[in-house]
Amino acid sequence: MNNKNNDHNPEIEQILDILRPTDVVELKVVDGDSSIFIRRPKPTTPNNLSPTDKKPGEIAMPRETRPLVIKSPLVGTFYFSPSPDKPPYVLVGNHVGVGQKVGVIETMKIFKDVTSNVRGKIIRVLVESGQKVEYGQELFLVEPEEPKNV
Amino acid sequence: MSRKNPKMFKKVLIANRGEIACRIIRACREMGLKTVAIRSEVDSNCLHVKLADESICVGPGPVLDSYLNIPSIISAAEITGADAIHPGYGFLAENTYFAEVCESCGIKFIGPDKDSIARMGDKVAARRLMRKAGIPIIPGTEEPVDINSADLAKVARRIGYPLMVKAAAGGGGKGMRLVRNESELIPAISIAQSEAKIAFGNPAVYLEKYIEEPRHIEFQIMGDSKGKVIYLPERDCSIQRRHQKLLEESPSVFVSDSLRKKMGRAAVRAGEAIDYLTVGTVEFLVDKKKNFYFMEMNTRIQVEHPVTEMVTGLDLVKEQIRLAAGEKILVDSDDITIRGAAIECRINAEDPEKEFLPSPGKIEQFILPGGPGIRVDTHGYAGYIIPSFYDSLLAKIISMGENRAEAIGKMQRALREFIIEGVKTTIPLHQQILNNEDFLKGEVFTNFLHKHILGGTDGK
Repeated sequence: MNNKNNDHNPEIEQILDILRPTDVVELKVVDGDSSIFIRRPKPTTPNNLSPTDKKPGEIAMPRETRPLVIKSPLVGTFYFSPSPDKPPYVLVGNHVGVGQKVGVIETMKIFKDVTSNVRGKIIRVLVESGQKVEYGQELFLVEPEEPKNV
Repeated sequence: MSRKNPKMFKKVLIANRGEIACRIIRACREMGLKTVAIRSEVDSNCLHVKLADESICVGPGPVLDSYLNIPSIISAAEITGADAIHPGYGFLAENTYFAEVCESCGIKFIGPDKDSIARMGDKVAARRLMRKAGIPIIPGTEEPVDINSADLAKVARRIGYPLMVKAAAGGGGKGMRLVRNESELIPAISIAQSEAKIAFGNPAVYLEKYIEEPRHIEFQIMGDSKGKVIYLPERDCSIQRRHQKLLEESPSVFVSDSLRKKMGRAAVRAGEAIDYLTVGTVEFLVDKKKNFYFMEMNTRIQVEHPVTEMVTGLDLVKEQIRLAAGEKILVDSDDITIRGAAIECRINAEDPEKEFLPSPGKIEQFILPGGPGIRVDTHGYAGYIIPSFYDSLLAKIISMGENRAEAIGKMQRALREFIIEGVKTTIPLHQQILNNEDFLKGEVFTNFLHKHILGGTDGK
C-alpha cells in the first residue's frame, strides 16, 4: 500500500499514534503484499509536549526549537533553595527532569516546592531569589532536550 | 468625617472582580488609598485590573483556584504589602474562615467581625438568634435537615406545604428550592444541597414555611466599634427571578413612615444582637397585612447598595472602609432623609428569550446611558470578552428622581439609550417590567416576574 496522498487511513493514523510518543525514526511494516514505510525526522522537541499541541499530519514536520517554560504554580515569594545556607536546586546549564525540584515558594509562612514540568537544560533564570511572583509567572527557560536513546 | 485617622489603611486588596471590584477601587482612590486587584488568568483584560494601582494573578479561571483560593489571595496581600482586604460580595465575602485567616495574618478584613459572620452566615443559627432578640421569623426547622432522616416528611408536614429548602450558609438564591408537595421534597433537598456545596462549600439546608405573594423588603444597617447601629431607608427587592434580584428600588411604595420605623428598629436589634460592625443588610419578607418576618442578614456590601446611596447621599463603600478602620458613626437613623426615589436595574449577560441562558462572549458595542439622574456601575466596555467562568452581572443602571414616577421615567430613557451588541442582555426584560401596569402601581411581589412578565413559563 502506497499512501502518498494524505488520505485519512485509519490504520496509518493508528500507527502514527503509536509512534508519536516514541523515539522511532523509521518504520517498515510488511503485511502480505502491502507494506507501509514511515520515516520521521529526529525529534527536536521532547516528548512531554502535549500531543494535543500537534495537528494530525504535523508530526512528521521538523519544528523550531522553542524554549520551554517553568511557571510559578503559586502566588508568593520565590527562592532558589530551601534556606539561605543551602545551594540552589538548579543553576543555568543544569539539566532538569520532570518532577525535579527547581525552587521553593513561600506562601503564608509555608514553603512549597516548585518542580519542573518539563525536561531539558536550564538556559535562563527569569526571577531573582526572594522575588515576589504571581500565579503563572515564568521562572525558568528550558532548552528542550532529546530523550536519551536507550 | 474627613479628619485624618491614623488607623486608616494604606493599601487595600480587592478580593473580587468585575463591577464591584471597580466600585471598591473607586472608593479607595477617592479616599487616597492604594489598591491591589487580584485576577484569574482569564481576567487580565477585566476593567478592575486596569483601574487598580497594581494587580496579581492568583490562579487559573475556575473560581476555586483563583477568587476562592484563600492561600493565593492572602499571599497576594502579603507580597504587595496590602494592610486590608475588601471582599466585595459573593466569593469570600461571608466566609468566616477567610476572615479568620486575614486576622491571623494581620490583614484587616473589611467587613464585620468573623464571629458576626459566623452567627449570621449559618442561617439556622441566625434564625434562633433572631427569635431570641424578639424579631419575628418565618416558621421552619431549627436545625439543618438530614435527607436520610425518617422524620423528614413529618417535619415538613408540620411546617406545611408549600415550603422552602434553603442553604444554611446561603444567600443570593443559591441552594434554594420551592417544594409544593411531599413528592418534591427529597429531590429538592438533594439539589439544594449540591448547589449549596458548590456555592458555599457547605451542603447544610433547612426548611422554612413559604409565604405566598410576599414583598422582599430589606434594611441597610451600619454598625461601629462603639456598638452603635443605625438603619437606612428600606430597599424593595421584590422583582426577582428564581430568588435572584433583578430590579431594586428605594423607598418601597408599600412602606409607611411608621412601618419603616418598626422594621428599621428590628433591623437595628438584629445588628445589635451580633455586635455588627461596618455595613450589612437585614432582609425581611412582608405579607399583605404588613406582617414582616426576618429572612436573613447579609454581612457584606450588597449588589443593590447604590439605590440606598442615591436616596441618602451616603457612600456606603467609603462608610464601610471607614467603619472597618475603627471610625464612628456620626449620624442617627432619624437624621437620614429620603431625598427622592431610586431604582436599580441589573443588566445581566443573559438571554431572557432563552430561559436566561448566560451569554458570554465579546462585547462589540457598548454605549452607556447618561444624563441627569443616571448612574451606571459596570466593568463592561467595547471589545471586552465576558468569560464563562463567572456570574453574568454586567452592569447596574441606577436612576434617581424626585419621586418614583420620575425615577421610572429616567430608567426607561436610560434603558433605551444603553446599547450593548455582541452579547444578549436583560435590557428588554427590564423594559417590559418598567412598562407593566402592576409595576407602575407598585403592586410588586416576589412572584411578580413569574406571574406578569414570564407568563408563568419560567419554571418555579
